[in-house]
Amino acid sequence: MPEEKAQGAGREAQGKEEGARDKGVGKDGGENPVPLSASPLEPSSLAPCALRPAPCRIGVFICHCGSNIGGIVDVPAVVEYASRLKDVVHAERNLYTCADDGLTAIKTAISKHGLNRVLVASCTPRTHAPLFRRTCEAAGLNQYLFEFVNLREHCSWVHMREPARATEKAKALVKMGVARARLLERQEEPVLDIEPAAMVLGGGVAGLSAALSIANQGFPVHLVEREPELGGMAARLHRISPTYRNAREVVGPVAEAVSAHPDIRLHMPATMTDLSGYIGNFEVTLSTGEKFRVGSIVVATGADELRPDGLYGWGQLKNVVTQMELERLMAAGPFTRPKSVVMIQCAGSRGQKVSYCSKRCCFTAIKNAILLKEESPDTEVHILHNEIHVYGVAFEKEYRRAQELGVRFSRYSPEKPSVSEQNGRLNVNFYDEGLRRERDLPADLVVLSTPLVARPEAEELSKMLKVPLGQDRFFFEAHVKLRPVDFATDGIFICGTAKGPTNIGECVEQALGAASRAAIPLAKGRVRVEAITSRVNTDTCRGCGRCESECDYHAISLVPVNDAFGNRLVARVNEGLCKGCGKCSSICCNRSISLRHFTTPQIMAMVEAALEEG
Amino acid sequence: MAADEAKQKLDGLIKKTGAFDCVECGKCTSLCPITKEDPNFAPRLIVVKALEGMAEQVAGARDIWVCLTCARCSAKCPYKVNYTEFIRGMRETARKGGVAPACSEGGLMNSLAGLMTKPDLGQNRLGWLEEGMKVAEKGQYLLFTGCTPYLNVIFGEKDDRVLEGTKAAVRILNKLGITPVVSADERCCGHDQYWAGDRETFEKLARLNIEWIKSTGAKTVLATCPECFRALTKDYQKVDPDFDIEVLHISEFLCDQLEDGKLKLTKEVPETVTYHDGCRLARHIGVVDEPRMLLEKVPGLKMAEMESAGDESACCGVSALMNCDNTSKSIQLRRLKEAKATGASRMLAFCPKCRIHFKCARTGNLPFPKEEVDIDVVDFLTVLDRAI
Repeated sequence: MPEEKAQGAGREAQGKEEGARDKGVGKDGGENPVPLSASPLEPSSLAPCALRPAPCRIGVFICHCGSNIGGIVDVPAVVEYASRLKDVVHAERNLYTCADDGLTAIKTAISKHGLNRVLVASCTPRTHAPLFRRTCEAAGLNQYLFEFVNLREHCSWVHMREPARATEKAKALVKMGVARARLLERQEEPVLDIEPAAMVLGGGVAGLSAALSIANQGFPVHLVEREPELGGMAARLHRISPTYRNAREVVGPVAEAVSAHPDIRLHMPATMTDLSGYIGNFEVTLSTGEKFRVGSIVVATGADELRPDGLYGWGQLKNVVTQMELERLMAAGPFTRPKSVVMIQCAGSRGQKVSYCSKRCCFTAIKNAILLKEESPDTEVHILHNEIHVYGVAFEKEYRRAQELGVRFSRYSPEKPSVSEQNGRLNVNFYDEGLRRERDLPADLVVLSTPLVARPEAEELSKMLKVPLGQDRFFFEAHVKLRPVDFATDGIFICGTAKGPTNIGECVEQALGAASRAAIPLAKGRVRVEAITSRVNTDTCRGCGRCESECDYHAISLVPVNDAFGNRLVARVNEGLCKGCGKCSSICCNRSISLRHFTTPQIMAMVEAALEEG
Repeated sequence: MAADEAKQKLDGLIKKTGAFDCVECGKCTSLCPITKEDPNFAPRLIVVKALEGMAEQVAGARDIWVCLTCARCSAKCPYKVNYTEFIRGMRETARKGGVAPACSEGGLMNSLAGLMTKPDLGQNRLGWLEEGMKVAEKGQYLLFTGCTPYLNVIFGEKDDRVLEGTKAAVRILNKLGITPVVSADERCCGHDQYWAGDRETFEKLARLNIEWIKSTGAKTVLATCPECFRALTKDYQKVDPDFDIEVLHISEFLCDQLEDGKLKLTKEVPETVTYHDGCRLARHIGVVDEPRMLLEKVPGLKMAEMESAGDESACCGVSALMNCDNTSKSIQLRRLKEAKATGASRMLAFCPKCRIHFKCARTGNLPFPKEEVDIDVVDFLTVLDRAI
């Protein structure tokens, strides 16, 4: 699914490149529904509606989510309960509120009942809030007058064995949501201008592809590569599976196209040393001292091959090499073909030094085994594995071809094999699962299929970019399935092996996806940012600076002012940087900071509703 | 709350506090520490609005919560309008109408006080006692420690010496041969709730404390914190008119001990200090001379008075842990500058909250060089403890 998503975005990018060539400029990219004229009943004042003569008119939509919620919670009972709550003028249930008929029901009810608040009780806001917000907006209701209640993760899934009590809890959750909905206020999303240029970090195959795609869409690109030459890890390979084309022949033309592109500026060798700003307005400083502004950033900094120190005699025994070292031997030209080669899969991965499967080692070993076999049919090649993972059509074919060529596959288990030197020759000892006995294989060359690991610089880079790393220290995308090339931070995108082990084809797919995503704000020229940001009451702010030091996004700074209160410092929020996490408003010593859309009165209303009887 | 009910309350308050006597001379406004920092705030205007019967404007306005109830106005009003009581009464009225103040630190101390109204509450509030300190559950003298054990947890990051005065009090009493009653059954004195218009919580706390104090057999209650002292001497009697156990501020008690020759200040403390009178101690009760008499007797110690001192002393800028805003900070910084100008190496204070507020102001970000306000604020009793 992530690959499909990236591929889809990639195709979109290629489409846009074509469009750009036709029109000469970058265009389009995502759209927000244009709000109709605001609903006549929508409150215009910011005061809570409880104090306003025009009453709240709340519509409640309870979703069965198929049987996810409806199979446990008594949805009709919750609807009946909701319809009796104060200010609720309409309550209904939908099999799937997120389906077309559910969304239509919301729109219809907004106009039919004059709703000025909409509450949907269904699944998770993480995936579905944007959809419902857009629906409200399309029906003329400000999207911030929408309230979400999670009856699936917070109720039916966790209480599936207690349907009666789950129903009671669902009622309470809806009641809390209604309490907050009453106090919701309309918000306008600030619109920020975008610097129409991008930066790509990394000149490997992913970075090159991304840079080329963005530039072909008509936007200037700064490509930053730490090494003195382009190509990254791919350029150091021998031949590339499954086409067996020379790696240089594949990567070379892309690198040349990038070098020759009038809209791509190469910074090489260089690294980023400082970054400030936010989507549309990132200020970049390089190790070379150069400074420039970009609107979006693609991270394609790649990965390293694990150094198998202390494993299988690597570094101590002669003729124990990694797949990468074997590729370099083969690329250098004919070398004395060994009589017997043993390849050890998962060398250092899947629980040894790292926990994950590196995804590329199986087909790499098979490819190199075939190359060895084709050039020297008498060489015995033995691949010791712990399951062969060759996914997809092409790689599976290669697996069979290797078997036909006489490459031997043996499954070791449960322990990893051990390598020693006996009488001047290498010996690999392992327990053969197929034969159910211990075996010794003499070898002239032992090749370790080591995993890709995160680069050590990723740590510092993640801090500079304010984006997270996963537990294996690879960059961590916004959503593994639905947003595979986005970071949670707006305007920054990720592709290639910096995100985790990937083959070259997938790197390119992701790169095109990331390029497409990164070009969206550039093409729009302006971007709407979330209205959920902090607001400082400068009349009461005492300028202590606690918020400034606690803000994880560096979105607050103290600024000197001279006003009726004299010369003093007050906190100022940069709305472009603020992510609306609410940390500042909760630590402010005198509540001088409030978070739009999550105000203290709104939260307290929910708490009070929860504690109230009935 | 209905408008006429607010009006009725207001009329009652005007009578009770003598506000009808106001001649609009403006002395209150000219002396108000808040007006100095916030030109929009004027005590006179609040009284005038009240006299004009604008009950809801008065009860609903932020102004009544901004007032520090420091009593600088009341102390100098030529017609003796009890302004602080007027404000306090308005707060009770406003609270009944659903208006609540913005308390510092999200109202944490206030919530703790609320928890302390539970009669069967088990508190762990004696963890600060050090080895060798002698305290008892029953006895002639009771040391009312106040909320320093809690404040130390909440404000420890700003002032890790919140408890130093409480500890010094125990040490000094022990040196005088007294084993004071110090107990985990003590509750928050309720001062902040009283001044924030939360009469109900205050009364619950007062009743529990009175019951506890009586159960210890104490003849004399000693308070170090000016706020606790004010509550114990002036406000507990409103809850229980029969509460007649002697309550002394520790400075009064130590002065008596000095005169009786029991307290001997013999050790040299060679430094210059200045002393910050808390509003509650100096103006609400009038304990001004005793602390100074004690300091005078400390060998080697020099006392330098600040520009505003005694019953005209400036406030620390926050009362009842409400509204610690930019005006508070300006008042705090102004006071610290006064202290710095005396040339003293340290400023002494009895009130743990005053110390916390000053420390917060001077260690935070400043619009001018740090040196201008860089003076340490320590508990008064630590100096005496060193001198014995």
